Amino acid sequence: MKSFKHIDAASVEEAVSLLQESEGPAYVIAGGSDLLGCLKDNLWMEYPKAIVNLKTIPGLDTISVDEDGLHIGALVTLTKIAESETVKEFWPGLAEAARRTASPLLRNIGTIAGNICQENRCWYYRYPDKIGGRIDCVRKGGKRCLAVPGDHRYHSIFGAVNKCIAVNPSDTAPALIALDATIKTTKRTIPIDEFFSAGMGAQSTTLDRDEIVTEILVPRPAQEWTNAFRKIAFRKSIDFALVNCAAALTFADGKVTSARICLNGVHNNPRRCVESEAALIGKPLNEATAQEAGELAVAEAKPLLQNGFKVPMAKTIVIDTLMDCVK
Amino acid sequence: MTQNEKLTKLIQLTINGESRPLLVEAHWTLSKVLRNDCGHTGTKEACNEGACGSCTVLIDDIATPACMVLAIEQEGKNIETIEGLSKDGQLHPIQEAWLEEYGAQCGFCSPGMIMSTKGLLIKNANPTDDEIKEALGGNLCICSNYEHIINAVRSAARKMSKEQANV
Amino acid sequence: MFNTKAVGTAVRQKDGRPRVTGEAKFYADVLFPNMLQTRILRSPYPAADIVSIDTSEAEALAGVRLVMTYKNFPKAFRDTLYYVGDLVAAVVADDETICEEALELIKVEYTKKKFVLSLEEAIEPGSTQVFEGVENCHDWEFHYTMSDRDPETKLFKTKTQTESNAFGDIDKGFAEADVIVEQKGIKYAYCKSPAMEPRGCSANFDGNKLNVYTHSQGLHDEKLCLAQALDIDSHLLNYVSPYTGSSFGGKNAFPLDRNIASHYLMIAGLATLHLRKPVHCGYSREEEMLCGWSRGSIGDVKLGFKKDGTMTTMDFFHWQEAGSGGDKYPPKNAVLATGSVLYSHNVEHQRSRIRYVHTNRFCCGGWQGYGVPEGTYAVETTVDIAAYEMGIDPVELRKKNCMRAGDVDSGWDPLTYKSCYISSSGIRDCLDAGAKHVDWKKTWEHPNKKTGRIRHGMGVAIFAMAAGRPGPGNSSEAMVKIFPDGSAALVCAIADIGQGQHTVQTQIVADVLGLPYEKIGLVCHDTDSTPFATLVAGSCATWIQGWTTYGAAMDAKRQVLELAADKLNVAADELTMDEHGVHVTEDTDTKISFSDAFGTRGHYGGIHEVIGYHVHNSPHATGHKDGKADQIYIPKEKGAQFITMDVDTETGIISNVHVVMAQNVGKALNPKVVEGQLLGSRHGVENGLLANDCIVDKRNGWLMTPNWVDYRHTTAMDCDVTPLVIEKPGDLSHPLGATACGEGAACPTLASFSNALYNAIGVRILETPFTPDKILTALGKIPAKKGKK
Repeated sequence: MKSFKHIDAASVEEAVSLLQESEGPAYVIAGGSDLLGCLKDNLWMEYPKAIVNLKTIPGLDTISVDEDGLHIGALVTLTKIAESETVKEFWPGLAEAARRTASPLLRNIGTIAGNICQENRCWYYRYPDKIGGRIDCVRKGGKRCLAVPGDHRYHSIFGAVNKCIAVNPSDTAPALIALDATIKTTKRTIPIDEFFSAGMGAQSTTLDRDEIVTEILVPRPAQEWTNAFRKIAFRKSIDFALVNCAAALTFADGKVTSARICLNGVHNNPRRCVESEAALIGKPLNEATAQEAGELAVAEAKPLLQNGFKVPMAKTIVIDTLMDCVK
Repeated sequence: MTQNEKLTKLIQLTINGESRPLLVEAHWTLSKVLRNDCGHTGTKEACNEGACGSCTVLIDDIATPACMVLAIEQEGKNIETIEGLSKDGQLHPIQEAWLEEYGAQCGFCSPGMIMSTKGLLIKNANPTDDEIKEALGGNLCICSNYEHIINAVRSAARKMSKEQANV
Repeated sequence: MFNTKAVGTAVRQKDGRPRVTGEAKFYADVLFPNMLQTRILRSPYPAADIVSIDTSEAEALAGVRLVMTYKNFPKAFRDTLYYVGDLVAAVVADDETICEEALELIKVEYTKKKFVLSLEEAIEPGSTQVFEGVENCHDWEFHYTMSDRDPETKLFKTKTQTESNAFGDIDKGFAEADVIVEQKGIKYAYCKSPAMEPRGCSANFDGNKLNVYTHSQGLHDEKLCLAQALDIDSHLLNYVSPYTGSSFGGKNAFPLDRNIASHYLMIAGLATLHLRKPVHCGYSREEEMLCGWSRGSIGDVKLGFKKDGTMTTMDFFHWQEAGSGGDKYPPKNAVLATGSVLYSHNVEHQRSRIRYVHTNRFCCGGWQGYGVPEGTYAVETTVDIAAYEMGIDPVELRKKNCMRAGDVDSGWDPLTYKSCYISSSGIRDCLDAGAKHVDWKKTWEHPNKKTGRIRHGMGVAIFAMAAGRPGPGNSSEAMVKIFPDGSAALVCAIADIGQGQHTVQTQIVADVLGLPYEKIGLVCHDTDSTPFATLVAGSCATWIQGWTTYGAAMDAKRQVLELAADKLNVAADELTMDEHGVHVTEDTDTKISFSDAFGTRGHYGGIHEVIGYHVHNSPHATGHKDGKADQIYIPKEKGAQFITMDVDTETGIISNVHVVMAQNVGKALNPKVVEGQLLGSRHGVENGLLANDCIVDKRNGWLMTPNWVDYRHTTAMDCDVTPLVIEKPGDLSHPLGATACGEGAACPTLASFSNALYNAIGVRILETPFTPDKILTALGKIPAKKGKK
């Protein structure tokens, strides 16, 4: 890793001004597990001049519940979410997503905000500088996406964004989308549906470069409600998802009154399955309706030569996740 | 950044209960500082991206991959490495269990595995097999010695409960 | 002979304590003051020439001490590049950050050349040549036909160099067969040797000597090789390696071949000699993934059977990827992917041909199974196909045909000059034990009976792997010192790479001398303080070094008994040695302490240590001769493995993988050590279950999986292994009845995995890894891919 300046921020305001006033590129560090990985592999076009530490800001690492719902500080670790009795009881989909993220060691340092802001794992984008030099893919100013003609077995099955076919790797992102969370930042409050927006370089969200996530609000469950999360990965630990899925549903009189279903690992941004959701409304949740929802979730899939297997996988995980929601 | 601009900072780290001043550069990871500047080479580096657990240490009792945290951020925290486990030549019960159950083959993963085990047993004194496997999910053993390692964790938990009962 | 006390029990690992306290000093833990660091600039192209290289800016950077290229260090670098990541230059500087910054200042101009990245393309006639003017495909140089079988001994008397390994008459064999089963194109995807500790070394010139601290499988072999490569006298080089963070064969260092993964030794060695300062050169995980030894192959197998299932004929063709190994010569490191000996009991006609194929990838070498995993995968998959075709239970078919003790070995080791017998088998016992453990008879079902989304599968495979290497490399030496205080030390450079050799060898010493295990020390850490010891490869250490250690201990004991006999005025053969000293066997009161026997008088004379020594050369002297000069028995690893699993037919995901590994180890010198070796079965699972595959970008030659996120090793959560240690003592080839045990565990795994997968889904997948993509394609859930593989 090459050198950089490291500044402890005492408050979110100070952190923002440090980002704004830095002479060269500046990035924030929370848990650091994604950031340090990128810096060690020297994969960005611009190496940071300064790193602003958020962990010295008090108050960002607490979980609390009030009438609005669950307030998760941006720096709350994934372990803390996975082990929280409150989260496990009312938001099991989120607890499970946190529990299935990376490994116990990384969950101990990785934060919820870091997990939803993390960079994609496309192996062209992430190619390290140590074994022949980094690869300038389309996201780093190259002319084209190298995965399209290259090896894209784990890439998007729903097309490209800005020519890039990387996928969003987060496990907690689909859970928060299914749970209709809200992201509070230093500038504004962003509905989760508007939060993810893959762009150039390290850009994976709609955050401005001088904007910092401070809290995530997950609304309180309605009376009859279930939510669940599933992940398919090669290993039961460490690995990123081949596909993952979260669902949250409300019921009245045995019928679905609202549904939010989100797939991830299938596209540049987490993908809401709106057609599947609509098809469930007013119907009981059972094998037949879950099957229909699963099929609708991948109806528009456009797999590439190598990643067709992710289509039945995505369909099945939607069905399975919905069946987990059957009370 | 050129050599002249290199930014170093004098920090105070508490390692295995001893506080010491260290001059570190901002980008140095904790594992590098432990190994190169503190002589704690029991903390191993194998993958350098948090995917193997060889560098696991406890920071305030939480198992942490030392290659993925910056040393400069660890002031005021209690860092425990493998070297801090045995006291006065007496092995820690986890280390004893490791020897009895052949938890080590080549031994390269052992310090990290043992620190993850300690982190687990602090939180959960009596883990089930599934809980043991999950807690060690971030520590690779390329010798593939997991059955022996799981036996060792079970045995360590028993030893420590017994010790606790005798206090 | 002697009583076994330590041998046969799970005494504690000899150097276990430092391993669990963090005190064990692996090479990278030895830090010299002011040690310089190294970083390597690597080729971005799979085939290129360096047109120009300008290092002046890098050299001018403060803290840079040396920039190495083909211009100033032609021994380590060259201007032709053969794979992405090939060496272009190295920077030696005060710290790693400066190295990284300096690398960016080196300006290189390349001419890109045509390249060939896959085995399939490289074997096509007219494909791009990796080494200009040299064919990509090479026959193995040691192919022989065995003939002229002695009707009485069954041994072959004549050996003729031919284009394939063979005996009997393959055409006749097939003509006589009732059933012929043929399977072509069984592909073992290109994968990497695993090791926890990345490669590297630290070199230090102390005014007299170059001391090289590194990991090692054979300190002396590697030292001699490095001295030759550095062009210095061997006595000027001390090779130090107290601990090795696992190796599995892949970390063997042969710096003479520039394409073998030992560049760090050359770079640090040359830089240290040049700068006279300590230099560290260690690989990052990414470099390790690129430069670790690899393997990959395609096998075609054809088998002939009688109606009752008796196998009579085997024909095997094996294309083995060699990468850019060999440096323009046919590669010699990937060896013998034969499954032939597996069925030596019945197969009268055999042929097997191995061809090595150059590609523009990192070299392949022999590691963890030395070709046997690939061969076993191809052969045992085909045997399974035959079992289903003939309607014979897969376990029974193997029991009927498998190798047995006293069978004649294929005898194809190039330097085993004579045809020889298999010293022990036990494969049938292993099949029985494993089948019982998984309750095969009750729970095995034909795939066509399986329904439902989750399908349970059960598979079996047997394996046999030769122990040791042919020829002079098998020589080993050891010394045993006995001290006047009744303690002793084994002086022996045998490498403990995690397989427990330091423990097992000192157990042998303890029992030969009659001393407690705790009283036996070990001097093993460098070449200066030890005599030559064999490279631990081919799981030979218990066998070859075991004989050597045994001999050295016997020699030391003999001397002590003779000293005591002199003092006690009795014959040495009437004496017994134990922890208290020496006593008359039949009269324990007539005794003498070690120091009295030695005549030790403090600083004033007497004998201060008795040194026993033994040198052992195999295979000739080691094989048990059975009273006849031409009858050699050689040991093998052998056993049977069962795998059970569940396959999700909707997602193609495999789960609940359970491996049952049964291996005949002869006598388990240390049951826990042996169990640990059997747990190594998991390595094959990684290539089956975890999509563990070195994926290369076909257009550019980049390795897309250069880390432990994209290239996966099993965690504690991914599969379970049950080791079944089968003891059938009496292997004639070892003084304590032990036989080889080590890398064998990984040999059958892909085959049994593949067979279990077939048993679950009823479709054969003939290419590793067994990914959801292939499983869903096989099940018809997604369309098959068009075009080339």
